[in-house]
Amino acid sequence: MSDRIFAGLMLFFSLYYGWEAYGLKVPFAYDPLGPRAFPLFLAILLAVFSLFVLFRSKSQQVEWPRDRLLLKSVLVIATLVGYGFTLFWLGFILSTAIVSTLLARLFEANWVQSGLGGIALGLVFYALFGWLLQIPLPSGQIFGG
Amino acid sequence: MDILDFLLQGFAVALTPLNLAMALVGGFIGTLVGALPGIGPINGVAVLLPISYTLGLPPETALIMLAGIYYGAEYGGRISSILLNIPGDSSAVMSTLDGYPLAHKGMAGPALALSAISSFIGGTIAVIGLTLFAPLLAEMAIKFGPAEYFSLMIFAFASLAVIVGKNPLKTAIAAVLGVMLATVGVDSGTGVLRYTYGQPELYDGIDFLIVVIGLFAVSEILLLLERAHMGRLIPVAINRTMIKLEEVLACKWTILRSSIIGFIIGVLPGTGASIASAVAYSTEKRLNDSEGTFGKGDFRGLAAPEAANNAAAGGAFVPMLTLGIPGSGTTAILLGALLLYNIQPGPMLFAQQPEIAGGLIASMYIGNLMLLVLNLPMVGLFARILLIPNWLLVPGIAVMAFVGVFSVHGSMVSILFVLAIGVFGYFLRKLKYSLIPFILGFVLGELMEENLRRALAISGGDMGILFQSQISQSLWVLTFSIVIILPIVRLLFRRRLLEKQKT
Repeated sequence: MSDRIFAGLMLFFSLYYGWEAYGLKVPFAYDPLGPRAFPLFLAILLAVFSLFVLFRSKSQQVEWPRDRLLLKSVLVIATLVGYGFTLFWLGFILSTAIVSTLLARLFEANWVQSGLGGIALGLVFYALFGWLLQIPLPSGQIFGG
Repeated sequence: MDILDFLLQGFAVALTPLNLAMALVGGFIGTLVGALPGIGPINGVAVLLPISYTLGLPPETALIMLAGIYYGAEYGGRISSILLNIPGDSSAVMSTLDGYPLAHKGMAGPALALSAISSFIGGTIAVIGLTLFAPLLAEMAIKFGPAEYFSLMIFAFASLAVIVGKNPLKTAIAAVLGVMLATVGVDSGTGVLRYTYGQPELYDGIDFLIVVIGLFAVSEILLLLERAHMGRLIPVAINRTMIKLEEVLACKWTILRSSIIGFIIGVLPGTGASIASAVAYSTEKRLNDSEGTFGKGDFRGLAAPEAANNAAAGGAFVPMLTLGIPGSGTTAILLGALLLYNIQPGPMLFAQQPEIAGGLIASMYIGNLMLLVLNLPMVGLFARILLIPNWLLVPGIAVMAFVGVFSVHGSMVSILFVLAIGVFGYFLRKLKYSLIPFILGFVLGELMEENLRRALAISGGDMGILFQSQISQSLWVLTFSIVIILPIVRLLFRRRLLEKQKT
């Protein structure tokens, strides 16, 4: 069933993708094909393939995450999104330490392990990237960086 | 054969103690940098290039060190492919197919060793090819016009679609989605914005790094979580660290064939190495996979892309040295390094400064050799990365992935984009869509469209140009035989097998 739902979504996507390509305004093209033809061709290709999956192929059983696992998966993504948001604000070391601690917790480590691991990762990676490899890392807006 | 003399002279220069030491240092740093997921060879060389320049080393020493970094980073990229299922760059993608299953069978050490050995052999064959055929190959590469490129890519896709994964339909869908993602950004032909939604970050298109980190690293984290939760996470044992001689010998034809394929395809500027490893893998699978072990941890399935990709990396030096056209992202940066030292690669290099060409080739070779010397003893150590508990490994992967994206883009939008692609990649993997065609579609998509349109611009819209030259014709015949004839042959073969079983 999941397979067919996904194929259906792909079918919609191909229609949208093709529609968007069709609507491109081309002032002037140097080549006979222009920027529209290739995406339109892709859209048709995807639509045909999706239709095949939708109606012909045997559907596969997929075990989707449920209950606690679903919650944990969502939390992992949320933590990573939070990393993106806090990286500039808290700076590399602090936000890495916090995010690593939370991720370690989600992977069933206890608080002590997570906390120590998080702090260690923050410092080690800063030494490795910021100091050894000279990659400019955010130092954090709250520290005036 | 004066190039041979100069090659020998080059070796004489490269074999001085200082240069050997720098090759070793370069190889070591390169391996470290390449091994971090998300920071692939391109970034590795790019980050380390200014450092090696500021050290004030003589040009030949610096070049030798860079060659060491280059090969080291290429090899390091394999480490994360094999151990973590996260390819460092597009040419390492195929190595995940058998490398990761091998690591999970407790064969991480042997897999890494085999990867080093087949890379070395591939690199050696490429150096020999480079010395013998460079001018000849440069001529061939010139004959590859847009139409020929287009047919080559169709061929690469066709060999993928039939061979990777059990469901060709899903492989095809994944490839199309990858190509679609590549159409985002400014259309190079007309300047029209496609699928950018007014986001300036999207004008340049989506960076490979963002796609590969999202697709592989983020989805891997989610799958790790799932496996850990279901108690399906079998603790990875390390059975032994060294590979047996007979295991290497069992791969000898695979390595030889793949090296030659890799070298020839690598000569073509563009994405030689990723096409080469894909074609080599599918060739070997077709020839050898009678028991269906490919993709489940077959040594030959790892040796093929590894040998091919290193041979292709060597082949990529042909257009760079003879034509001044870099054959890959990394060679583009190395080209910059050469220019930094006032060496102008191009048609005149072999004629006017053969000593530099010889020295360069020699330094490539030394870099490659050092890698083998350096990495074989360390294989056991690298394999131990697998013993790091998940609660420490996963944050580590996440941080390295973010730093990788951050070092290139430094924007929030790109980080959110990585996560979005990662979730999508997770759904694809859950639904048994292979990520390999997706990422290759993404890498080749832009080139494919560009070459198609360029070809049609040359012919004034006449599709005939795609089938005109001998090169394109033979590629189309190959494509046709893979897509149409091969499945029919297989079907007949299977039917005969069934009949035999009945009697």
